[in-house]
Amino acid sequence: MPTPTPDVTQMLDALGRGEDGAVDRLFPVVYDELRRLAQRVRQGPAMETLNTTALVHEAYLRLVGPEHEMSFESRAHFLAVTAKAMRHVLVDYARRRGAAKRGGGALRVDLTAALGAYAPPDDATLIAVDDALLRLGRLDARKARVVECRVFGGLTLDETAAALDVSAATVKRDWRMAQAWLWRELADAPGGDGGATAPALP
Amino acid sequence: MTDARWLRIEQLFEAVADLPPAAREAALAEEPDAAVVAEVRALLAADTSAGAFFGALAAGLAHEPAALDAGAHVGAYRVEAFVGEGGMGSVYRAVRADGAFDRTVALKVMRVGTGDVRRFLAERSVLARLDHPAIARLYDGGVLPDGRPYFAMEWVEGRPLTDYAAERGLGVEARLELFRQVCDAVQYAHGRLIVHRDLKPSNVLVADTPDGPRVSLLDFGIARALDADALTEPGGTAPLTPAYAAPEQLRGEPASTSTDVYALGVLLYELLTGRRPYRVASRARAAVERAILETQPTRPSTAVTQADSAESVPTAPAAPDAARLARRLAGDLDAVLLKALEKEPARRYGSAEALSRDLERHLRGLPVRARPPSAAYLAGRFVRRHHVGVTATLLGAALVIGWAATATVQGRRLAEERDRARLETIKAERVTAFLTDLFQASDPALALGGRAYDPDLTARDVLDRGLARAALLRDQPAVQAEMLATISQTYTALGAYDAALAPGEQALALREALARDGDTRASLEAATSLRALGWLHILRGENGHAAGRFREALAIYDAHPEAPAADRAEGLLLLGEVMATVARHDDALRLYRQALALHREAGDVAGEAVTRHDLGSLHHHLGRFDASIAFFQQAIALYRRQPSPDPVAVGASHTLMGLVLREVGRLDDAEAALTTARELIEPRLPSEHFRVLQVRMAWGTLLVAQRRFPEAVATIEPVLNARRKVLGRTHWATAEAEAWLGAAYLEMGRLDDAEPLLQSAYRVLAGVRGPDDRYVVPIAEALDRLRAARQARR
Repeated sequence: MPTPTPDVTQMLDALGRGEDGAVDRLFPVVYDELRRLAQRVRQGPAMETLNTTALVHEAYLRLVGPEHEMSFESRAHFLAVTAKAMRHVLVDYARRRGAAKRGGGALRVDLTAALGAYAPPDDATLIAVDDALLRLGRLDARKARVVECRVFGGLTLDETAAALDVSAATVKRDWRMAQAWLWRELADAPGGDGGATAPALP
Repeated sequence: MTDARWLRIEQLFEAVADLPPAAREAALAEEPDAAVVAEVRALLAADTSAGAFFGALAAGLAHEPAALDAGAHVGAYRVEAFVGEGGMGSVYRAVRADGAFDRTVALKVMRVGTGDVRRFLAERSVLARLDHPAIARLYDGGVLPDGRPYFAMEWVEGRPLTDYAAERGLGVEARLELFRQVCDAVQYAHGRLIVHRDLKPSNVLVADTPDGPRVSLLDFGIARALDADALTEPGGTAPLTPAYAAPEQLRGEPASTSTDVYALGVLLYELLTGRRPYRVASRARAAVERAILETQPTRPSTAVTQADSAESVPTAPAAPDAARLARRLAGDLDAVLLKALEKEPARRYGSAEALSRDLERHLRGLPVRARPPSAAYLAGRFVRRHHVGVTATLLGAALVIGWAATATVQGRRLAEERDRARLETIKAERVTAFLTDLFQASDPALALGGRAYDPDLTARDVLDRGLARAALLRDQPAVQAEMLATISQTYTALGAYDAALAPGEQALALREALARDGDTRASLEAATSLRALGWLHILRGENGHAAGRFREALAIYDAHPEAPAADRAEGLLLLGEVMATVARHDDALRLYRQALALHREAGDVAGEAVTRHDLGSLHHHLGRFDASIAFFQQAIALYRRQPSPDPVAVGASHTLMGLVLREVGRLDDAEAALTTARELIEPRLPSEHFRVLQVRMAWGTLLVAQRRFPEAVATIEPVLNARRKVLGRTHWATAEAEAWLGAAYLEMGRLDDAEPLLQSAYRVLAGVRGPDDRYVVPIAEALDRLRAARQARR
């Protein structure tokens, strides 16, 4: 359905200049685009799982266009917004589906199963990660954004660094500590399954 | 939790995370806040599992959609069947859909997106030029609508190298022969400045053919084309095994040809012992990486007898028992493998070819170079020289005030000529083998006895002997010409400009004779000879002769439309360089522009970089400094876009840019540029190589500008001595060094030292460039000031 296309490139330029509210203006556009793309993928034949990296890049191509010259930094800023949007698309979908399936019952995260090679995470894991990420964000906002970029946007270290205007070394350190903290949170969470310290509740 | 406490947790975690257990405990014991310690301990406990979990999570989210269906169209290809999952993505068998060729391809669809599509496509076209019987051809590549890159490659049947050897029960000799095929292919690609970066058994397939087993290397340069930073990032999401990664790759440093030599070492180790070189406690990525970075490889002959190894030995060579295999490996093969696996790239074999030739020596019962240090030193030294001689002979000129070209003429010429007949390969191999044999025959351990070893003298001796041998090849003029040309170029690279002339002329005469008999290729080779000779004339300061040679070469290219654009462009550049030297700047500019157009048309990034470098130098001559700096910056950026930029070429651009920056008074920027240049150039070339002299000269001029006169004298004087020795007293580059040294003495008030230098410099330079030239006028002024100072003293 044709909607008045907001001028994405203008928003990107605002983003590049670090204008207040630029992210807030861009986010809903990217979110809608990603949700549309995700829906299309889910309805397609033989495609049950989302390829977030592919979606992020397709959203980029659709919104920015292949011919638009963009600096590495601006592109990284855009991808960071896309990562945030991706997180919301995935988690919103998981929550809706989880609610439909279980009537909103308790979530159970199977961390050891999640370690299996390259299977898409189940809804419960996704939601638990999202919750833990919210808590991390209150403690250390930048670390939460690093995780968002790396996990939900598939951004590289350098892209993440450019998006957050910090050095790659900082991203590397943040990423390591954030992972450890989140894992500990997930393992300790009710219903967690991460080790002997976390009693599994019925 | 308070911000301060969180900060403290963060600091402590970072400080202790990588410490060994004892040091970690000690550091934790110093923290007074028990809650902080408890939290850090919890985080440390989570560290390893957390990395694996989030790696899996990110990879799971990024998982590609279900396999492409049979019949799906990807670019010009139609998918026939899913073949399997590889390290970087999925592999399909596919055929051309448009019927243009009847061709089956392996279609590789990558798991990870590429950050920069244009760069990916540029890399693809570089890789497509690799044409070697043991390298799977890359036909095509592109990006799927969802952003995933794909490659269409030659469809290769075969078994992974180690499996093949195990299934056939091959012995050590047969394995070494197979492995040397791998080295040949790697060397071929390195000669074209392409590094594999991901050599491992599954990328080396072997198939039986009527002519015996045939090796095919897969995925050459693909890792670079994708440039997934996950490859080098500890704890990253890349599903690639780090077991074949070199230490420098794990440290996140750029891969080089030496990285591939290391990976070849791991491959050979596994082929001969059935094990990986390092003993690791677990297969966790971190443990493997730590072993590679911090521990020494187990001696192969020891490894095969260790029952407690983590790896089994199903693929080890057929030997009745482990002890016998251990005896077979002990000595030579231990030494070869440990040399290939050195942690420090400079201590490894200088090339895949050097590794291969050492294995050949072992097979022929000759002592290997990996064993006695002096011989190894000599081999490394020769191979570097030899490399200069054969593939990158005509490194460009660019002395300080004069010339600019960075022409790596022959290296790029070879890259352009992938379709040339097999004769070419054979010829090149024969020349290489010939020179290497010569050199080995002059091994000081064998020949020189107790005499002090002078490497330059020996290299000269070797070449002199080579000339005598080449004379015996009268019945094979094409091969003889190639040898003479190589010898001439090697003399040139050694700075022996007088000795270089005769063999160069002879090679030209032979090629011209062949060309008169209707051999088209010989015509083009004659043109190559003309360029090489012209370059030699440039170095000898014979500008008129040089221009004549280049014009002849260009005339041949005009008569042969099929001549590679890069060669033609090279001829234009070199002629332009002569024009710039004799201050005919408009002619130079016109020639450079023509060359630039040719390079751009051919999509030749390296050629464009060289041309922009030359334009930078020309604008410097013309006094257009801003434009000059911009051109050098463009050249540097273009060089760096290449898979393995030539450090010397990049260094040359930094050198000349540093000179311009000095001239416009940006001394700090100049110092930075020249420091980079020295780091790039000086460790890689012999101390009297003109590039080294050039950058030291530039450094000396900076010291003069900084009014650090004693240091300037100490820097320039050796340059002057070397140039007098190599180039003679009437060469303009010698004059240049005299001028600057004279200027430094003048500033120090040492008038008697300054005067003869300035006078000699003025005589030579005014002769070359005319008395009104902007480089000549300041010398005249310096002489005036000198005379005035003398008057004042009287």
